[in-house]
Amino acid sequence: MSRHKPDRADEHFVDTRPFDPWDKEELTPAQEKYFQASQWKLIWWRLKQHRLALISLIILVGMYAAIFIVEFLAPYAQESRDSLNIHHPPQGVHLFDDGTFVGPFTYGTDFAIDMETLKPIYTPNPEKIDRLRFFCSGDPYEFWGLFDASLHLVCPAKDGTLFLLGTDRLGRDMFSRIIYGARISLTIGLVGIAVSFFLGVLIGGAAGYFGGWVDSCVQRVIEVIRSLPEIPLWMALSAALPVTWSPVLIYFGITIILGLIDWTGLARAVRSKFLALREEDYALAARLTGATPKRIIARHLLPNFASHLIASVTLSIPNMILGETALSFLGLGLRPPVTSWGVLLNEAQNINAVAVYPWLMLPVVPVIIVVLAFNFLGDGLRDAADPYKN
Amino acid sequence: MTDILRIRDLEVEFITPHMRTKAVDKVSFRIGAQQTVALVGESGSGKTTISQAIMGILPRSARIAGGSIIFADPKKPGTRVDIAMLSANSAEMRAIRGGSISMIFQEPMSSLSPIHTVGDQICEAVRLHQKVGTREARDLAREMLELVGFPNTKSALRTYPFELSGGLRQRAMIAMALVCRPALLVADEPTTALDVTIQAQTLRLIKDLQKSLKMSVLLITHDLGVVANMADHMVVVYNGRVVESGKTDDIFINPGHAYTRSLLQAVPHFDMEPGERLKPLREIKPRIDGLLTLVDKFDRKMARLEQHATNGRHIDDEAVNGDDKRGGDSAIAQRHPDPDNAAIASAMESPKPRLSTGVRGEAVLAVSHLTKSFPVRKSGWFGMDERRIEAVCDVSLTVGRGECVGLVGESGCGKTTLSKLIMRAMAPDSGSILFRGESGQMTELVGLDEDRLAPYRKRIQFVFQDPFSSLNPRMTVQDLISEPMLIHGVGTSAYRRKMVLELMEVVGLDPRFLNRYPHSFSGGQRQRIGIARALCLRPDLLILDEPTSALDVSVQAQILNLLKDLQRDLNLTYLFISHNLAVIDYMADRIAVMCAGRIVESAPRASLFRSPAHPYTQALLNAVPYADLDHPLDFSKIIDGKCSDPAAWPAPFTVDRSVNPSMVQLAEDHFVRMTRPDYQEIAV
Repeated sequence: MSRHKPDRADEHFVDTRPFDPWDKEELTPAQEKYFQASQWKLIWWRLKQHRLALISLIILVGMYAAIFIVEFLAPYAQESRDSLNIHHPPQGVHLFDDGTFVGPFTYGTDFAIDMETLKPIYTPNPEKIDRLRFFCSGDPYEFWGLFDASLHLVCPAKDGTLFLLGTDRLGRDMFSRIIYGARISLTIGLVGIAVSFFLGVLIGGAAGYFGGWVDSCVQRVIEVIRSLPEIPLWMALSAALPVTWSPVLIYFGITIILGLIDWTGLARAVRSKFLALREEDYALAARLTGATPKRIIARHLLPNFASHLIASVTLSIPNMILGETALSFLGLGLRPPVTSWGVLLNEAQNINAVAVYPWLMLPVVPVIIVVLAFNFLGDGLRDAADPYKN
Repeated sequence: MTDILRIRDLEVEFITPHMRTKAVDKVSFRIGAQQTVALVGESGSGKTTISQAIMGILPRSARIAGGSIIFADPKKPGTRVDIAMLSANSAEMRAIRGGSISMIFQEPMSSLSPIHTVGDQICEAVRLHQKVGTREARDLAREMLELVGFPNTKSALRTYPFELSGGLRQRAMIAMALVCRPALLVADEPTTALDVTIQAQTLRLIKDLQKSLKMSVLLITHDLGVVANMADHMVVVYNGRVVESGKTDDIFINPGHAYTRSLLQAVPHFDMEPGERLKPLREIKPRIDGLLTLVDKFDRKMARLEQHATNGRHIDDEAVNGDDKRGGDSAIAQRHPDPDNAAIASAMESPKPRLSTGVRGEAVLAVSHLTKSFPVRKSGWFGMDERRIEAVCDVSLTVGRGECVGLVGESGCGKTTLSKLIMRAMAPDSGSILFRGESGQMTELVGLDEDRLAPYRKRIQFVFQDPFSSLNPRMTVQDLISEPMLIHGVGTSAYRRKMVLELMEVVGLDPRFLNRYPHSFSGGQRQRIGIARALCLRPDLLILDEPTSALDVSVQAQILNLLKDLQRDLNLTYLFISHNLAVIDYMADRIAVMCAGRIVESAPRASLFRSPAHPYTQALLNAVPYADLDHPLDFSKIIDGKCSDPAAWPAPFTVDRSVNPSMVQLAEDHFVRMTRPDYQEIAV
């Protein structure tokens, strides 16, 4: 059918194509799927479009999955010392030797001492080809402290070495220790966040819901806490932890300290969201139907900012991780024999050590990766948190 | 006559991750010099997208897929520019935008910057397009403000938008758009957010300015009343396509397309016969046939289910379904005599039991001398000096059973505050609210605490204005509709599920939608969910606060008809609040006109519109644009200024600090607020 175009503006033009007022209401399968989707599904679809957040999510899921099997993943046990290889530099993994394929291997090293600086010098020896072993029996360990095992994903050759990230002043493999440290460093954030989440939602919710003097008090307390310089506060609080406590107790003490300081941001977010949502028509509608405050909060307010809460929690986990790292770096947090990234960095306090053995700084890398990943994921979640907003 | 703008086969596409949609599909029309062309269509029809394409301000997800927008600027004769080919940020486009083609928007407050003075904003518009000095720009701005009818232009230049009233803000925005003397003004719903009296003033202003500035106007609107009064030509768009275009007269007299016809029939107007129905584009067919028996079944089912529930016996779905099969059998009703049903049956002289019990005509709600004021500003030490504004002042109102009382008034007149007082969302300062509860006795609601209000919360339900914010986006339709029953512990889960299914049919929604979330529904569908939710407790009184003002005319007609049917079939009582006189006229039996917190006139529907007594009522009626060429707006009757200021009303009606007149009876059931010693004052 050819389209008629009105050539004179005055002409009365009527579209002659068939007209069905109901066809607008019919939906394509894609629309149908979209319309039946719940809030969480919509958030997931939104998040999937945020490529960086998705990659971060995959990295984080991988890292958290890894902390269950660190003993298996690490080539050495946490405390194995190789006194012959103190401050050994990182070794590369090679596939080809002199143009022939050998499979993954490392070159063995010859040890010498620089007689002027007394610095150990390790030179790769092309003659010594140490082929890596996989799913092998290596250093014995206690899996989660439960049973003895010695299975590793990868081990050095018998009498060979595999120091991917070098060794420290006692000849311990940095790579293995970083993997072991992840268990503490990644979880301390979660425990701390649980504390701060609980406090933030409780205190922020009370401030938002009751308003008035409760709100004023909470706001002033938050302002006081926020105005205290963080590091001295941490120092004071962790100095309060008795030195006689076991490392595990210290660990919990530190998380609670971090949580006690960190809840303020979350409390503010909860309060402001509460105030905004309380004014929504559907909250009023529920109130006018006779709903109790408990029901309004649980059924109408909380579900509407749960996604925002998750986003802000995700954004505050890195603070926890950084907090632990900073405290332990200063020697105020976790102490050896507990291994965390902060404890490992504590070794890198001496500027001389860093200048001569730069690989001691490597535990910074996982900290950066995790913090960045959490930030990207939190950003993506924050954008996706309100799927009804375009 | 030459064309200023020629749009040919314009296509605009929106690209979203979920779908690729054609918002504008081969649209062609033209705008002649000094002509007014109206672009008419419902929301989502693409009319705003067309205007955005003309202005070069399409959102990022949209792109022009084809066609041309040829603009011939009369200030530069002989030049033709294809706007569709220009990039949005090019110098050429920027020169056209605001210089030769200007736009005014729906919301004057958000279109003006709150931190700059009106003068600065107008001067900025001048200096962007003309090489003039500060002083010259200021003179031009002043001249323009004078032209749009600002009372004191010199001080107006220094005022901030928040200091101005809604009408003056709209004028300031028009001044800003027109200060460069554009050849074409694109007005996107310029009066939709305004009250009728201000709408009429604004329309008159646009018309006057068009004449004096010799410009063309592209008027985008869904209000056919505005079109009939303003436009020379009209273009009707539906679903991104032009379905009809031509001279306004031709189309109004002889609408050719089914869509145009249905639009014209969907607008309520004052000359409707009693009982005449609006014809919406998509009439919903609620299950009227089985509705009464359906409700009857509800009553019995509910009684039985509740009995079962109290006996602690388990009710399975089969019992409910088994009852269904026997539904409609009147013998059942006799075998299970229900005291409530028996009472109505005798009272109604009809075998059909009604949803709501009670005698038709008796007062359900009686509000008297209700007053509520809000503090506006605290000043002085410790906020001791408090100024208060009276939102509701001495309001008395009675609503009888089965009646629809209309409450009409402009924004800020206190009608929503009044409805919230009645719902007891807030407590009044003084006055009383009597409501007939289940016992049949009138009960005072003022002073009851939340626990004792609960039984009345069940009987009074509320339908909100905004269907988008009044439904919790995180709940499914099933949860939304059944929530009130859950709160009041009505029935078992099987009963609630059944009730929700029935209600979906009652409001004409597909029961398959039950597991959907509100985001999947259009405004009209959402409003129907809101109505279903309000009905599920089988209330006596429904307070409808502007239930259709956020909807398109055709959807509005659909909802109004639905509400009318439900009222008739379920013997509901409505308090219908609206700013739209025609809608109130269509729905209400009695109408109360409210202004500045007071009811100024109340009368049965017929007499209010035939013989309005109060100057405010008259001003309102004069300002309503009819969608009818035979009833053009009489612009000479439209008074600029303060018809809504009680102190400015003429002598017997004046309300100020010294005079506070009360309601005086003019005729049977016709009351006006005025001072007349020779009339006997009556207390309502």
